[in-house]
Amino acid sequence: MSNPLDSSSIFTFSSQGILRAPLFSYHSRSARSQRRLQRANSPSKDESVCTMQDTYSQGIPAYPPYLQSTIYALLVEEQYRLYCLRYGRSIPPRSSKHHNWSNMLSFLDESTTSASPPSLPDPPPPRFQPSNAFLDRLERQDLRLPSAWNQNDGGEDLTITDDKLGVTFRENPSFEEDSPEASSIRANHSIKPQCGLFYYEVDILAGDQFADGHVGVGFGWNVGRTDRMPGGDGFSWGYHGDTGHIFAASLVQGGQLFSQNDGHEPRRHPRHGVSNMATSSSSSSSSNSSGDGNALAQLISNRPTSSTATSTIPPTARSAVRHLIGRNLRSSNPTQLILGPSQHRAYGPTFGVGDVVGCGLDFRNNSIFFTRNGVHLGTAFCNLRSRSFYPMVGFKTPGDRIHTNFGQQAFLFDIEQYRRDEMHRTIDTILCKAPSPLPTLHRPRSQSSLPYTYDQPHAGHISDHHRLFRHNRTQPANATDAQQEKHVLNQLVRDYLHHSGYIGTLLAFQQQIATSPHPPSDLPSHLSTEVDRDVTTLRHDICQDMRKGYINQVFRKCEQHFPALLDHQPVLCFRLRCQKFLYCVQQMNTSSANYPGHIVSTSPPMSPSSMDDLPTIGIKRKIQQQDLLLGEPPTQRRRLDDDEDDSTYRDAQLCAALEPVMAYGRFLQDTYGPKSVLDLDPSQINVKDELAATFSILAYANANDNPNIYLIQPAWHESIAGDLNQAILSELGQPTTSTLERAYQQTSVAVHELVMLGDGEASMIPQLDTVL
Amino acid sequence: MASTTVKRKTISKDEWEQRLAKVTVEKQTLNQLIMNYLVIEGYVEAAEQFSRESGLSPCVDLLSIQERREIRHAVQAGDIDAAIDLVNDLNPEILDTNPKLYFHLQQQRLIELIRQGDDEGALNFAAEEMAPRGEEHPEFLEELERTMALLAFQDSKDSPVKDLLLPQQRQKTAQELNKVILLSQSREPDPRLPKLLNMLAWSQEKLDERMDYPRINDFVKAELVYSIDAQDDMDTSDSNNAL
Repeated sequence: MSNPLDSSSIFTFSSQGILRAPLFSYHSRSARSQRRLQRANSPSKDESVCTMQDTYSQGIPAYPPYLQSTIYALLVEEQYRLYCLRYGRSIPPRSSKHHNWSNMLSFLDESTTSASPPSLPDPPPPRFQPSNAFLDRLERQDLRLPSAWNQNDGGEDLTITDDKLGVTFRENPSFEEDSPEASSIRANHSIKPQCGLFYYEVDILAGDQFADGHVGVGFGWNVGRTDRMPGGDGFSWGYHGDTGHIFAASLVQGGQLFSQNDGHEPRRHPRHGVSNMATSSSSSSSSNSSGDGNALAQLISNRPTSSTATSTIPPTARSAVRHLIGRNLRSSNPTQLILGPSQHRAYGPTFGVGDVVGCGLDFRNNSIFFTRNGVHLGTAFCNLRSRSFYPMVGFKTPGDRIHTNFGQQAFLFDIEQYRRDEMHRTIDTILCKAPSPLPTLHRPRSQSSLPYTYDQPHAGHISDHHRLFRHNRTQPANATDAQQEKHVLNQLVRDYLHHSGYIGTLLAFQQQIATSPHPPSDLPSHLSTEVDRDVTTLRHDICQDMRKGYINQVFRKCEQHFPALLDHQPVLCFRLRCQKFLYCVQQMNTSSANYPGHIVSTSPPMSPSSMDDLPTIGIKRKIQQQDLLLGEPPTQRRRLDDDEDDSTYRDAQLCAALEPVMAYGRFLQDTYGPKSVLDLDPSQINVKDELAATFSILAYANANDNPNIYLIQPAWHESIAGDLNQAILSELGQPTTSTLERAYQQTSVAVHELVMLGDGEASMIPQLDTVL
Repeated sequence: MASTTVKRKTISKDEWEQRLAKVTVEKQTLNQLIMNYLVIEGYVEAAEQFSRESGLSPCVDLLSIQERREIRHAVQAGDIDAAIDLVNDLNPEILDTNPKLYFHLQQQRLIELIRQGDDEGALNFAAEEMAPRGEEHPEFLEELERTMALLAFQDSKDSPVKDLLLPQQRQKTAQELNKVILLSQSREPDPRLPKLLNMLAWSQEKLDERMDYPRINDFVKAELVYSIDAQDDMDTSDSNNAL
């Protein structure tokens, strides 16, 4: 019954939404050799081969609460939607703030029991674009975060609980000769840089009488050994409870020696600036290049004369090793890792049974910090090499027990506040950043050499915009720059006001600029001509009508001023017509408000009846026909009625009112029912569903009961008004989006892309609308 | 996974535009940005109209915006005395607690005196008012020197610091004053709109390091510009740390 488990299927969700891990095999001694063999043959590898199917076939995505409203969360949501779209699940509504572990269970219940979850409806169907490179990339992107321990990636004598969060070391002490002294275990997934900041906590529980809880916690790469504590080899970094020291081995990365901070105090308050404690000692290694045997010679000649043992590694040894490694390095592939001995230094307090120790990994500079009982202890390591990090915990005392929290529960340390603070710091850094002379990173090619095409004659001017807005914000470099900045901003504002039709504001704004001392001279002004003013006013009026729901006005004005508009915009036309139908029904309802009974129509869509007398040429003619509300021959319809005497009178009255409405409804059905009539892009809009939703209004006496009530609500009207605005602008040959909106979109996509590429700094930025 | 040369990714214009179109911006978000800008920069009539047209409330007393606007206009017109009076009427502590600001206002006064050609007045003023301030705060001395350099030439327009005479200098002072007033009223001193453009510039610059994609070069037009040529010269010094 117990299946051999692979690392990708740790989490399963039962139908009741209860977290339940699949069965695992108990670690017994007889199985130990088997597992050793297994490990040797198939070392746990990076989950580079991972499909969305693996991740989401077991349920909706879940991530720790402190990652809410991050771009990572957005990515996960997007990926999940893509999965639903591509693999046929129902698409959840866009309540993007609530997919975290704490709300996960309730959401699961909802989605399995009801057809439509009772959260905010999402009026336009998700604009799913056909398969393209980006979506394929999104599908392949592995976003899973560690959620449990991986018993296939651990050392000897470790017992793991059912939920894979608790670990015990050597419950039944054995005295085999080859028992390793330490044993570590790693988590099931690596930490993806897209999350920006990852944190987990280890709760050290009481074990047996000898258990002192002196475990080691930290992170490690999955190529490291598991018979060492974290930090015991070159592939892991740890904080040990017995000494309170942090451990790592000297590594070489990219030609620079990574060494522990020699003698500096660990920073307790990272707010004052991330401590760059792992300062590279490249200078020393490069200076040793000529003095070849010097460091080695010194090692010999500077031996201490007294025979007192020292606990710390003498500096001569250190420099000798550095020298050796530096020399080796130059001859080999710089990316190869060369290890030195494991080093440790003082960092924080000791910890043991009853303590809660937290480990955090910050991707802005690949740094690790630890917390103890809710207190941040400062940055332990930084500028680590980018590879897949896994949470890792190691034991050496038999009987030690821990329980882990990867985000399933609340943390002792206020990681949410910490993350928020760091987010703000990142943003402040970005916004105040001076143009940086980065020597180590790839310099972007200078503007002039970029093979871009410039539509403007004064190409040099454009690159200035970039320079302007990358300057230190607290003090513009000079007054001219400040003025130019202001000019750009003013233009942006004016363009937006013009686009949105806020004519009064625009005029007032232009007026105020013009009457201020020293107005800029080269001001192209909107609304300078009478014609422009009239057209913009008209555009604004039509949209306002739409917002207020005066749909007939909208039709009339559109036909009068923009006759070809509706022909060019079939989707909009469809929606406007649906609105008209709804409006008529509502009018009818209010006019016959005193009617006690109610009408129940057949379920939508209605069966079309013969419409021979309607002209078939020209949609416009049809509109006019309907608008005129001519009486039509009576048609079939079912109606629920009480057994009242004057029912027939009411019946006739209602007939007269209902008739034109039904005729229009039939017209809609005829036009949009058959699939091939109009080629409305199915990826943009689901005509059938919207049509059905529109007709469903007839089925409800009380409009509030209607789940499709969104169609008559202001938000939907606003959305259509926006589309209408764009359509009119398009007719006029003007750009359909404002520059402000375009700038926003560009920023959003650029940051998104950076996060997808794994840029730590970008991953720490929250979603754009929370920044601004 | 790590390599010394990283091939630059390319994103097609179509894909990028599709992704752009997917980003829905709430009208409310943009309206708030605009209102915030109008209020902080002091465009009071525009803010008033805007609140009527958009339904968004300015969240500030319109009178206070008007007051700040008057002060700003005074500085921009070169009437520093009037500006200082108005500031003191508004809040006498502002100038007391902001020596740097006060120094810049004095500096502007000096500039105006020089502009008017009143050399003697300027020298007197500098001796009586500016020098003591410079003694208290040595960091201002350099700026004082720059300003005095205007006097060193017969025609100030020949001096290397002639940019001090430009209207931009007045606006710089006005902007600083506006900011300090807002801070004293416990309001945010900077409009949020420029931050969007900052983020745009930052994110584009960062992305430039890794890939080719349609860029916005001109923030006023916000049009996408795409490089035609594929990568010709790949920098071999390109060694990205991440991924």
